[in-house]
Amino acid sequence: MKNIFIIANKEFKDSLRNKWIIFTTLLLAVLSITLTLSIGSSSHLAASSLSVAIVNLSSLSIYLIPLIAILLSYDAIVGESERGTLLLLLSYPVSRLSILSGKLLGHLCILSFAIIVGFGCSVLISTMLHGMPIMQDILAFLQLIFSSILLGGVFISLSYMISCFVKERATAAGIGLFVWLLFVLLFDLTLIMILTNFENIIDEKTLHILMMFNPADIYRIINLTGFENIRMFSGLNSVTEYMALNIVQMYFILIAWLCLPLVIANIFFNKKEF
Amino acid sequence: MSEAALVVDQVTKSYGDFNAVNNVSLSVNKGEAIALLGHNGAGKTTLFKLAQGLIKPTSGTVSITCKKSDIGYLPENISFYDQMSAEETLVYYARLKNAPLKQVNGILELVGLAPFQKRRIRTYSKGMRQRLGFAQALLGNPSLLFLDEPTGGLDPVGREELFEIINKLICQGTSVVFSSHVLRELENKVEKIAIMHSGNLIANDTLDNLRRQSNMPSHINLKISDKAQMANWEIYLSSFADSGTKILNKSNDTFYISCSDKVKKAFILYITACDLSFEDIDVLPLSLADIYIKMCQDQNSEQSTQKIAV
Repeated sequence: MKNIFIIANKEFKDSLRNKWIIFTTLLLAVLSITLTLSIGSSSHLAASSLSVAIVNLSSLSIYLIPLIAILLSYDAIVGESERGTLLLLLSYPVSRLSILSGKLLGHLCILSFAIIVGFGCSVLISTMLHGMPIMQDILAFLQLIFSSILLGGVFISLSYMISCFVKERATAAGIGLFVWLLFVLLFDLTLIMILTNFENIIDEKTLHILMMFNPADIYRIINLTGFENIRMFSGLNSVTEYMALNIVQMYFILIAWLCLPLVIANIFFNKKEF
Repeated sequence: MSEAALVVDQVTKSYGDFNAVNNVSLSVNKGEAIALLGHNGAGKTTLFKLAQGLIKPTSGTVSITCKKSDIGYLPENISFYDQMSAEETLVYYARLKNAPLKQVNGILELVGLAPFQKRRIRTYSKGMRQRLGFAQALLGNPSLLFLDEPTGGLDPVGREELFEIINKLICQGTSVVFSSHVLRELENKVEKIAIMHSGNLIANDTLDNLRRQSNMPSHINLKISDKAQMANWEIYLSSFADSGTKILNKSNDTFYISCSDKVKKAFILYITACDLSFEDIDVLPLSLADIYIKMCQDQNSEQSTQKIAV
């Protein structure tokens, strides 16, 4: 357990040394500030400017957070192997699961810092312009933060699986980008295609179940349907009655999306010789 | 009987049809140093990895009597996290090994990196990286050290300093297994020599025993004080009753003689018993390089014969 924290601490410090954490935080901060300011100050929206910002942020985060997570972690194992640092690390009394867990914890901390500080700017700007947000907006915002970290964790975990499987960093980067494209774009396009062709066969609840096979879609549903004020601005007010799973079940599925690739990554990692 | 720190028993490591290590058995006792020699690709690094459990053998067993935290390892072509300093690196590895952090500064001082300990590793030369690699292997006072090409990239002074430290560790009871291509520097520094060739262990003994086993002649240089007596000396030396002893070459005052190990003592007594005078006599023992090259050549010719027979 101690070794997990030692490795996590090193990963976090590495991101400070190479300024990764600073640039990622800045990117998310600029995004959230721009989105919050772009809402404007019309009296209708001003009252719930944070709700609108949450809707906009979650829509954009679906693309951005998985990409950041993949770029952060695709070379976690294969990169160390290529650079030659992994062999030395493995010669120390550290289990391979501890190495993976330590890296996951470190990368999650980096991502969490960037998301909390970056998206936190949105609350700050909204409060400065329109006063203290209502409690439901604050809860929706906390959900956005938590689910964003979880979504990032899922893609970090998927990246580790790729990183433990391939032999070269370039291959890991290529597969990582394909996975990103698959979940943020291709999966939904395929679903639309299926729906268009089999409209009568697939009902709303089946569609909801199908969407659980995509962590980005789970994230989208959680954030856009979790609170009434958010549903109002996202145009999904009546969707909840057609949902097959409740929000807690969806969170569990998202957590399973984080754990399963990590277990597979550990199996690959244990089988591999360096 | 000494207690073994490492026992490798009939270990084979195969990659497809290729045996990187083939049925190798060797043991290292506590406080013993063994040098592992072999050409590039002979299987030394694979054996190092097998010995530490970094890779699993295809067959055979490896047993180590100490804990993993009591092992120090310097891999060949060591790499570090370039953005970290030497001090940060050693602190990181010391924590992973549960070694006392107060050791870090002392070890950096010992390997001569103390003045550069705050500098990022990306600015280090190859020799400095090698010193740092050696430093991390010393963390936690290991009882078993694996050093894969420890002198690579070091200057002659650095190499001597490194061997001084290794000798001290051996005296303190540390078992050391190391490989090197610079054979001259290993003579008189290790008790046992193991030679690997194409995955096979072709020798595993003390240098003296290897000299005897190799059956190669020693060289004797005889310097004559009176050049006028060179002809008489030549007649005298040629009349020594051993066909294996012969004059290889001569200058205007020195004979270069090849002499089999068995009659070396008798031959020297024969020279000293001569009425003719001489100025100096040098007995040049067989070097490790001579033995190594001979053994590898024998192995190559044996393999060629087997191929032809097939």
